[in-house]
This record gives sequence, C-alpha cells and structure tokens, in this order.
Amino acid sequence: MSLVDAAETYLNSLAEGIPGLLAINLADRDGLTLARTSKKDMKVNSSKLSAVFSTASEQASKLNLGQNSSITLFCKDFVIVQAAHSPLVVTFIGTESLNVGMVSKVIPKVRNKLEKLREKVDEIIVATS
Amino acid sequence: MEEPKAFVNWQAVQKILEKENTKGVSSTLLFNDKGALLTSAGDVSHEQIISAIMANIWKSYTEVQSNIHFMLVDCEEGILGVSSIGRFRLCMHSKNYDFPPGLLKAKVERIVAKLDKSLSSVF
Repeated sequence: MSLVDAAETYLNSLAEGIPGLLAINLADRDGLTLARTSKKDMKVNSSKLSAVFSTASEQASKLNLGQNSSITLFCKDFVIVQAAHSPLVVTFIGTESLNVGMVSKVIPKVRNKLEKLREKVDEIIVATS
Repeated sequence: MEEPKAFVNWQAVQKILEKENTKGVSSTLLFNDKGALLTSAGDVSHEQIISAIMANIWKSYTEVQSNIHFMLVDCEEGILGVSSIGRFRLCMHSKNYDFPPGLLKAKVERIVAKLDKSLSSVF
C-alpha cells in the first residue's frame, strides 16, 4: 500500500468517529489534493482553500504569537478546520454542528500518522526546486 | 473616495471594546477591510501588524469561500478571533494559547451584535 493510500485509509476511519464531519482533504501547499475521504461535491473548494491556507498560515506566523498551527472558518452552512503540517495541509469540512473541539484534539495524532508522507512530499519539493 | 453615510461615536465604540477585554484577552482591534486600524483596546504593541495581516487573511479566504462569519487563528503562543461588521473587521486576541476558543468566539460575537447596527450603516 502506498503512503497516499495508507493516508486515505487512515483518514476514512478517522472521519467516521467525528460528529458533524463531512470530509477530510489532504493537500500540498499549492492546493494539490493527495487524499480525501469524500467524493461528494460540496460547495467547498478544498483545493483553493488549501492554497490560501499555506499563505495565510505563513502570514499568521508573523503575528508575534509563534507558528500558526490551525485556522478555523465558521461559515453559513459549514465549519472548516485547516491544520498546518508543512508542506501538507489537512482540511476538515463539517456541518455547522461539527465538533470542533474533537477535531482540535485529533490534529496532533493526524500529524503523527502523516509524518512519513509529509517527509516524502518535502523530499520531492526539495529535489524539484 | 467613498463618503461615509453616518458618523461613528468612536469613544463609545472603544468603551464597548474595553468592556470585553477581560482577563486573558490581550487586545481587541477594530480596523477597516484594508487593514487600517480605527480603534483598539488593551495591549497595543503590535496592533498595526495584527490589523494589516488579519485584514489580508480575511480577504484571501472570502475570495474562495462565501459566507464566513467568524475565523479562528490558532498559534503556538496565542489565539485570534476575527469577524466582520459591514466593511469593518473586529479582531480579538489572547497571548495565552490556552484561552478557550469558544469564549473568544462568544466575546467577538457579542461585540459584533452591539456594533452591527451602527457600523453597518457607515458605508
């Protein structure tokens, strides 16, 4: 099983345990999707959001509050939690009743689980730059 | 330049911001959509940087996602909450990374509710 397939399997199992969660999207800092749990068309462009997050997170890290770890958006029909794991971006998309506290708790575990994939993507970025 | 349609009692606005600056809250800032600071309460050591950066982050996100009413930015050493009131942006921040995000959101939303009618009619 490839690292990406393993990541998708893991995220799928994680998604089942979080109330209000619709999908988890894993992308690189340019918004290129690597894995996602839901193939449903939601009115959320997770690819564009991932690209915006990369820049926003970098800027937020200049607020004299240390490195940015996540950004959460509360929208009319969705709650979107984005977590930094540079160069990866993990985006959790949920309904308005998404348990954001639970998502915050699982983020460190997700980072841990995706560490090998993160290192691989980082290697590729360094090699191609 | 667009002329404002109403005057704002900035002293009264500042009093509202100061009232929510309870224990754990470092500062509350009100700025326009371009990041220009209008008024603030609390620790103002980095207010210009915060207002400029947060205005930009809000703008970037609203270009790709509609109907955002609140944004939470979580950093290693603090947390920020931002909302919009018409063409203005309200940002509350705490230098305590443990500050409850739900409380931050509730405080920002309370200020927005108080200022919405007066500030939304300015432009």
